[in-house]
Amino acid sequence: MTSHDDSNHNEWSRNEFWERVNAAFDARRDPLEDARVQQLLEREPELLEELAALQLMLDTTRDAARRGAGLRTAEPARRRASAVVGWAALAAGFAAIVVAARWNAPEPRSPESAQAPAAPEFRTEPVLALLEFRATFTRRHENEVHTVTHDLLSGAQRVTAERVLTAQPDEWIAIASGPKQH
Amino acid sequence: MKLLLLALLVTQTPFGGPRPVTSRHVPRQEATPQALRLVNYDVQDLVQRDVVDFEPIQLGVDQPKRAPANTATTPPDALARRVAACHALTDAIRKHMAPKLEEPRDHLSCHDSGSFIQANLNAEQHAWLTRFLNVQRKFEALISLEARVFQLESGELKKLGIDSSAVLPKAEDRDALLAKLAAARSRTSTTSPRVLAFPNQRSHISVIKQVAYIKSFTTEVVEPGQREIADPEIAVIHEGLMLGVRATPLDEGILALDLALDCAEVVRPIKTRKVRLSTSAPSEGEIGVPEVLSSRIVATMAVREGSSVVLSTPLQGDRKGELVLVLTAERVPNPVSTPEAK
Repeated sequence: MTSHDDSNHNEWSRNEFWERVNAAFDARRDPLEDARVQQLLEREPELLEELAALQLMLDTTRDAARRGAGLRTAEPARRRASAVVGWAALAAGFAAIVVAARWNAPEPRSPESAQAPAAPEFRTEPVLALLEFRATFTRRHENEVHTVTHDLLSGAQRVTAERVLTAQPDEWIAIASGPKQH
Repeated sequence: MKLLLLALLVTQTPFGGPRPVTSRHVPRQEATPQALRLVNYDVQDLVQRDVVDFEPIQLGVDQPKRAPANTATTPPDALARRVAACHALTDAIRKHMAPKLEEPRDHLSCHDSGSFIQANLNAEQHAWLTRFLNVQRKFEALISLEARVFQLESGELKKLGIDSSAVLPKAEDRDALLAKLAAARSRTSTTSPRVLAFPNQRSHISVIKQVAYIKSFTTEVVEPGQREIADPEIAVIHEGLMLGVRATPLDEGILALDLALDCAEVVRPIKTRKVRLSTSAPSEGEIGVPEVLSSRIVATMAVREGSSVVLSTPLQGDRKGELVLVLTAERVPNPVSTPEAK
């Protein structure tokens, strides 16, 4: 069988699947109770995902219709039913687009490959020589400067608080200063 | 006589060419009992630069918006440039020398002319210095410094297996880490500046934003009518990040990186305060009292050419996160390297 025949066969299976699902919904039955639907799902498990999405959408529509029924009691049941069918058709169309897009992909995706492609790993090496490594954090507000310095090589920490004279910006007065060992 | 001998030695050597360092040592003092020897090293060829070192912008500190007219800077002359380059070279030697200097017993100093380094060292230190200067002369390329800066959520880098610093030996390793950082969900900003620098020259890469605010008011009394006019003084704070790097060739294929990463941010909204503008009238003005949070990482390390350094610093204030720097230093050919330049 050629690939063209394969795709035609799949298309027929899908058409049959959605016809039986729609018929089950119209008859207020669970489509998963249909033996033929079960067979088609075994052959194409992807359809289950689409069916679940459709079921969720129908449930949402049904809930909304129920909430609306409290406000619009005079609305004919036929209109509500047609709305449900419309939503179902929309969902089926959406599901068909999703499946078509998947079929155009080069390979069917497994659950692992469905995640983002793993970036290559990197390798690190020790520094040839680390002579100095320190971090300083400063907070300046109005005329106060608060500084914390970490020496990341020795583990020492130094905390300094200074007050700047605003009248003479070049003059600084240290009000607290001293090393603090960890 | 000694000066004449020194001048002869200098003039006999082709300018900037491969010069045997040992032949230019001028012993000025016999070996002391501590085995120290004072030697003048001719570094003229290493301090001739057309590109001038400049003072970097200060992040997080308010500065006047308009510089006073009388402080207009003029480009430094050749002597000033040479002296500045000589001091930079001396600082690099002081930092990297092995065995380490124990000043003031053994010491280095830059001559006023900027052409010589006076070194009072023991034999091992002299050997290191001779080798170091030879490496500088042989290194005729430029150094490409490419920085990538990411802002991530706290702990994101640790999830990738890096605590606060690391060295990535090859370009493939760097690219793999960059791909992971770029894909990080919490990434909010990225910059990737690149600069070419001469060896042992400090380069600054900055991505800054100027925040202007009214710092104070000056009241002027003007005619007619002796009216009081409030003249606002506008100050500017530079916020953003700045990377200062100096790459010094240490040995064949090995660079020393002396880098400082600064990050400053003005807390929003900027707080204000009302001040009285006049002693005679009840008029008020509003000035800004900004709060600035800044962080600075300073590191000096030796790495192989072409490898990349990763450093991170936590952000301050309400913004939880970290700034990650990935710096790659590699040798690139100097396109203007000519025989005359040598």
